[in-house]
Amino acid sequence: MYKTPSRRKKKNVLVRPNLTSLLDAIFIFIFFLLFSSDLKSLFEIPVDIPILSEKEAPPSKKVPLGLTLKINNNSLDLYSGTPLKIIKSIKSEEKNKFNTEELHKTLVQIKKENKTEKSIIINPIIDIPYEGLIKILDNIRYFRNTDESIFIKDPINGDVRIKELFNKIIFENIKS
Amino acid sequence: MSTGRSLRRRFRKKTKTSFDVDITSLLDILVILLVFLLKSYNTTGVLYTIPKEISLPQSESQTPTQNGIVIQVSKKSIWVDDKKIYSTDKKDIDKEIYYSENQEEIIPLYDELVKKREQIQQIEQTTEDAQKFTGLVSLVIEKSLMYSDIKKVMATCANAGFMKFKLSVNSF
Repeated sequence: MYKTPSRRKKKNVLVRPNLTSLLDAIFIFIFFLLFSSDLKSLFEIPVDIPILSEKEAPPSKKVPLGLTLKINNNSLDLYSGTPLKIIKSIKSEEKNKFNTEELHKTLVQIKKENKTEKSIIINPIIDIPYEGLIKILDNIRYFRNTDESIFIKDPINGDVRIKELFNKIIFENIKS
Repeated sequence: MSTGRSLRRRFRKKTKTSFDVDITSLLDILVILLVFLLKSYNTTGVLYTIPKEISLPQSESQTPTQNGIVIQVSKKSIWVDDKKIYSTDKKDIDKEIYYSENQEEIIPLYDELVKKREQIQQIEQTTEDAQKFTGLVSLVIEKSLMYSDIKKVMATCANAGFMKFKLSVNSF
């Protein structure tokens, strides 16, 4: 017996795969990546060493400041001029724990009187840890937001705030 | 009847299945990944592979890294551009092989740096657009090392013709 074809309507079956556990796994993987990676950015501190030259220095009316920091056992000694004269000796109570706050304040005062000067010579007399040396350099290089503002006259921009303290660092005795 | 059943099977209309994936949470993950990539992106393009033995000192410096020869110094080893050139493990062979007479220069480091300098200068002479020799070295130094050790590394670099130094530090 012939049967008429059915006119049954198409069934649309919606397949929705359960991705919850997969996504949980991906989340854990991302957290693993985030925690295992070192997100700290690398920066640099430029330093120079003195270069010996047979050429004569160009004539200049300006007397060089010759700011020198000697790192001793229990003190940070600031010198200037030629021949070197001590400006200030900043004592510390413990060995290798220097009063960098006082050093910073002193350098801000020196900068006030020598606005165009950028160089400082570092002369560690004693053997200090590298980490301690970097801490001292940090206090030498830049002004802090809490420091007194010092301005310099610029022919184009007028008064410009100085951001750098003594950013040109020269190590004195690398061969001694 | 078997023939009637097969005809019915042949003309049976297939049910259509539509596939729908909910990608909302997947997009959330992609956003997190994008933020992570943006955060860790270094615009200078200088990538360092820092050995486990080296932990860098922290600093307030905001000067970005520059291209140059990278010297990494840990308590036991020295690397130049990721190539280990000195290790105290070999020190027991002969100490004199590693230091100059006045103990100020590290001979393997000096030799490697001279080789590097000559390579750069050779490329500079033969290629027009080659980068010029700047004498710049980036020092990646373990924070617990003493100044006397750093001085030896710097003195060796200076003798090999590298006079500009960048001390690599971590930001706070």
